[in-house]
Amino acid sequence: MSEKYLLRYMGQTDAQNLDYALEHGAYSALKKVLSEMPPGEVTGLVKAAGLRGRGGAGFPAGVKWGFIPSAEKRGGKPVYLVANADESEPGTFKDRAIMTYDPHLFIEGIAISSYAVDAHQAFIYIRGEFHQESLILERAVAQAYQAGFLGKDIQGSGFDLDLVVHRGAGAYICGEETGLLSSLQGGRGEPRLKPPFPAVVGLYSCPTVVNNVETLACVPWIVNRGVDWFRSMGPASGPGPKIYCVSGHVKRPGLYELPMGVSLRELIYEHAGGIRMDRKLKAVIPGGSSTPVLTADEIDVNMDFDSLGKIGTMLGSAGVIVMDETTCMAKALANLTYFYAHESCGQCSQCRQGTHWIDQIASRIAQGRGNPGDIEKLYDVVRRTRGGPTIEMIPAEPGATIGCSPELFREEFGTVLKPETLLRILDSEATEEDLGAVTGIMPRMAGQTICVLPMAVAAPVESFLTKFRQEFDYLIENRKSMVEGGFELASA
Amino acid sequence: MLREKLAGEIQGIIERYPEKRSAVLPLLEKAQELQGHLTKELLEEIGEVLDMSAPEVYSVASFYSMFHLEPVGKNRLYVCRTLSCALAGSGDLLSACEKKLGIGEGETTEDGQFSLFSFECLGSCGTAPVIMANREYHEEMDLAKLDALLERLSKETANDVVEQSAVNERSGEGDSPDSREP
Ligand SMILES: Cc1cc2nc3c(=O)[nH]c(=O)nc-3n(C[C@H](O)[C@H](O)[C@H](O)COP(=O)(O)O)c2cc1C
Ligand code: SF4
Ligand code: FES
Repeated sequence: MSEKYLLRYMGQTDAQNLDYALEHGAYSALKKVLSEMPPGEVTGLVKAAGLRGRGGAGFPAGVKWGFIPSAEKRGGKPVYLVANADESEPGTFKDRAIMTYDPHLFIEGIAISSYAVDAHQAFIYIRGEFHQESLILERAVAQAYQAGFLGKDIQGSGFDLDLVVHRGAGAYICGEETGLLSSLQGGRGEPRLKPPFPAVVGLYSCPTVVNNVETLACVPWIVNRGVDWFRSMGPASGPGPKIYCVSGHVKRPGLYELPMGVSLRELIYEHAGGIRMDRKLKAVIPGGSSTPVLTADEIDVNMDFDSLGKIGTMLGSAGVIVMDETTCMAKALANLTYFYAHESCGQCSQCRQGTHWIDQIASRIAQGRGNPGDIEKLYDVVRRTRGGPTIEMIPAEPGATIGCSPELFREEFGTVLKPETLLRILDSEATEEDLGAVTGIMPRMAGQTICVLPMAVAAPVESFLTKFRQEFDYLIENRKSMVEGGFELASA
Repeated sequence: MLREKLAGEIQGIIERYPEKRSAVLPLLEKAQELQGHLTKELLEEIGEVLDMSAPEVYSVASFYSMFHLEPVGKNRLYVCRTLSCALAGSGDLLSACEKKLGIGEGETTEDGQFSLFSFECLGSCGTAPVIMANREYHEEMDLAKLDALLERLSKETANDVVEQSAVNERSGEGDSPDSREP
């Protein structure tokens, strides 16, 4: 067993108590920062450590903090820090454990990060269902105030910070950072277009840093142990300790804190004990329901941002959902399409209608009532729901050709790509970097929708259909699943 | 009603935030605790407290699945239906709830004791299947645990009913528009 940092008190509640936590080093990093390091140095340290966001997108935390405009440029506006504890991506349950078993680590991370970005007011936006956890946090926050780790003139440093625990009330989309901020401002949790990004225009139109719980919990450790220690775990492109959430058909579902980049096979077969009843593995969703599924043949991959990106999926929130041979993939897909249809916030017509349409088709296939042509229809609706350019237009690999006419490609991408990048792609000379540039702007190009929820539903739909096509075809043709038994759809 | 019952608390909640309106979710949560669901009167009152119109407050409340705008049972069961729970048998669990309570999803038992909902991922997938009963998580659920849970809740709220009506009599609020339960 490798050493634990984020979940070292997993299963025991002692560290909810400040005295116990203090005996074990809590708030030592905060004291160090306040007495020895100017804010810019803290940001520099986090940047150098290569800490990437654990909430889903993997954006480098230090770089994000660096986007906060300087005091002169802000013209008197305050900076806010918001901890994203919405934890609502299906398959994800790590932040809950950090908050339950080590609330002071989390609070310390918030305090240090707030200091780094010059925020004096911070919020924890915690999903309303985590009522118990929110009470644990409220108690820990009160203890931290009392001991002078929050409030005015923290530890005599002159730094002030207030921290409020704010409960949501049940809505997946409040995990998306702009939806979260709308909700915190007292509205419906509806996302808004980015840019401007929250770092520039965030809570109450002020510069705001939004970071995931696990991201923030890494910060005290980086301060205490240093950049080299952090970088000793996992790949250079995104190192550090990492919590993997394993659920589904394994013998030991649960949380596994391991170095970034553990192999997926090792995670499933060693840590999680293998497949229940020693059945055969069929499929794994590696990073929460919004990431493309992998087949049993694809699990020799390292669980880090880049390695998973290379095989066409994502680390996301590290919610690993394991499915064995008894799983009907059509039912599993329909389960997820129902989720997205239910959770679309409805602001954008193609997302609101598209997610419902996708769910209708997926669930009729799953129920053995699919029609010939439904699979093509699904692909098509997904494309339209996503709006903007389709994945097929982009060359599959460097040097490959585009999947549409040059005119159409120029029309879609002409204004957003650098001219030389555009030319190389049209001439089938795209480099790895060029492709990166195109996928990088995809979310923005999905221009017609406000947020990337359509991408989130596209990921399972397209990957399930492509990788398990045979199963879907069989179901449509024979009106029954290739897989006997399995689970029942909870609702249709 | 809200102002009477939470007189001491409302100001404190509002003061936590740079802008008043941010207090809307905490106040909706408090309001719902009072009557089990958000009545028109409660929504209006929150609007008055926060300088929002009642339709605005309604529009916010209706966005979130934990807020109930219609009367619900004394106990609310939210059965997680999302993938990890489905793989662990939440479909059977939901059917069992329906059978035992004699109601379908979104319905309330005639005696007003239980309402049943299917719910999206509760963020506890490693201990699937999960039911949230009122505000408590019940993890690694199975049929035996479900029986025990239902029994415990019935007992608890059977007492509740008595206490609640006693409270209502004392404070003379028995005639609120929502006491028209069957
Ligand atoms: C539909 C959707 C849901 C999201 N849900 C969450 C969530 O529950 N928790 C979270 O931390 N980030 C979530 N995110 C990512 C946030 O928008 C944001 O990128 C993140 O909180 C930033 O923190 P990080 O950089 O530390 O990861 C979600 C994004 C999208 C598009
Ligand atoms: S894309 Fe969908 S979820 Fe996102 S803002 Fe538009 S309607 Fe809402
Ligand atoms: S799927 Fe049920 S708790 Fe996540």
